[in-house]
Amino acid sequence: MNLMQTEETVKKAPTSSAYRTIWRWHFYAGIIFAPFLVMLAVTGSIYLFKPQIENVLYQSYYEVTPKADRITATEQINRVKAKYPDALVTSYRPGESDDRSSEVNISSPKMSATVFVNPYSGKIIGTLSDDDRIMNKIEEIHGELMAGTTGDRIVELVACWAIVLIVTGLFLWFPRKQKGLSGVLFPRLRQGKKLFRRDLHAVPAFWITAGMLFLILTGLPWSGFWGTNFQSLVTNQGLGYPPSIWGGEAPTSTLQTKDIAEVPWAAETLDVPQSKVEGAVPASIDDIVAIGKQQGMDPSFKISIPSDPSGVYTLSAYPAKAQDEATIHLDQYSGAVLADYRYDNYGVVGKIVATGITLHKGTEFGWFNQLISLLICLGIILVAVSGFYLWLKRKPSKGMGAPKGPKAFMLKGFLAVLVVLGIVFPLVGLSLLVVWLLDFLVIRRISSVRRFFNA
Amino acid sequence: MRKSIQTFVLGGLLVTTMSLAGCAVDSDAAEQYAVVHPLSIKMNIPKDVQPDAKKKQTFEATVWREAKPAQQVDYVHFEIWKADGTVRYSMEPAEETKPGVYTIAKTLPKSGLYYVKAHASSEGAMIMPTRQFIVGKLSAQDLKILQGGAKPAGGSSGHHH
Repeated sequence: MNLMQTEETVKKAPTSSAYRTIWRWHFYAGIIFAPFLVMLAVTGSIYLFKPQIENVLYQSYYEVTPKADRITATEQINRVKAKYPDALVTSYRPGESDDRSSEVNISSPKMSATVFVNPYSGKIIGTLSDDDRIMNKIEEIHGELMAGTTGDRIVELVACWAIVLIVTGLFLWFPRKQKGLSGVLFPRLRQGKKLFRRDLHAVPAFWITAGMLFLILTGLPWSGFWGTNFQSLVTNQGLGYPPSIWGGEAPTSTLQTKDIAEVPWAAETLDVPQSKVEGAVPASIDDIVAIGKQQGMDPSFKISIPSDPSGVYTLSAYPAKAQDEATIHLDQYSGAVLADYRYDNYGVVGKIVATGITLHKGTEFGWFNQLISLLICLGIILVAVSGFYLWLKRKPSKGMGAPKGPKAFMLKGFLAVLVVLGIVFPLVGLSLLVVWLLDFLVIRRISSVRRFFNA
Repeated sequence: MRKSIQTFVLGGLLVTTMSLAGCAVDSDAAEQYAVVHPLSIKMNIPKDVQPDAKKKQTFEATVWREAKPAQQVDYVHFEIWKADGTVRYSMEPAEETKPGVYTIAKTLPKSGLYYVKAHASSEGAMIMPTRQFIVGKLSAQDLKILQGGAKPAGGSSGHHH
């Protein structure tokens, strides 16, 4: 009986009941995800200024006075090894200018850290543990709520549901009756508090929609579930990043084990088999630095040091502009270029993703990029807060005050949108399943709960 | 009708979720991007030699681009030194004795651990492999160098002891 009534309503007034259903979805999605969106916008606003903030915080680590002669990279690394004998040296960064210190990354079971070295004197300027970098913390909150994989999935879910909020929000915002642009593009200031409150949410929301959608879409490729799968898929199709930049393996050094000189660690006598000691030895880091420069790497490049006999030296640079990115893998023994991936070698999707990332981080177009991104973040905070305020003002004393409408199954168009989103973003699909199960198993069956949710 | 739509939708969502979860990068994905044909050097180093102040030993190198001899070799240079720094031949051009075969001949007067480093360039790419070899017997100091993991005193940019 109930069902038939609803169906009749659908026939009589399709717009208004569809409106209420979509409003209901927007309402619940907003209440659940708005706090997360505010958190993402706040941490994002700070992280946007990472280059400037770190330049101030770590100025004493970064700056050195240029002199005529630099000491070799090998010597610099040896100084670091002498100071941290138990740590493994994982990478070396020569520094992009004459007045910039070198960086040696070390890792041990206890910590991983960056050691800053004066490349002229060889003096160790200071050591900065990764855990002590405030920007790492901000990034961890922004990317995974400081909760590892679980947090990563939650952030991804929030991003995906923000798309649902945008789609439903645009539908609710879309002008139906009124003529003119007030209440659509401009808030109505003199038509009472109720309308003003509504416009304070809906009008700025419209203005930031494109920017917010852009930040979501450019952020999603680095998410742990959707992003990893998406990147693997496009890499396999030849459209994405070449392998090893995001997912996939780097090439291996080509020498056969028998050609590599062994280190006789345990030998206490001089009877080391000659055949084992004779053979190829790894190229020195100085040669690798020279090859990096000869290959025209961006001067900000970093060298990852191989940790096993078949590993490669990897040169990588991620400067402000995506177009200057490069990843080059060098044979550990001969220094031969095994793979050379520049921006131009990325597939079409890889180029879009890479440019999306530098735009998302606010580095692609310098301060102008940072300013626009900051405005979008502030807009997201305003819209989330004003939406929450709108709910508080309208909320009845009992219950959630959610609008009641026919189930989404009744609205073919809206259902189609949800299904498409659920398929493109499986986490949305999964969460939809959970919502439906909760609705079916709990909310429908307990009358007080049902009343509270106005279901 | 409604039930069947519901089942269809739920089933569809479940299938896509599961199928996307196991996507990884193929091992041969690199072939679809810029493929490099790496240079390499094959070196012939005198084997089982005893120290001799007069007899010259010959070192040979051929330059390869993947499985074929490299077509345009710009240069091949050799440098040879003893791990303890007591014997040292700085970088000098090798002679092309046969087509594609570059050689240098040097005396190895002392017993111990040695290094030979070849520098080669072909069509804008350069490589510089180093090989470790033994003349006569290793000394205790040589063993220390080997076990210390210390990089040999050498290379074109290295310092002298």
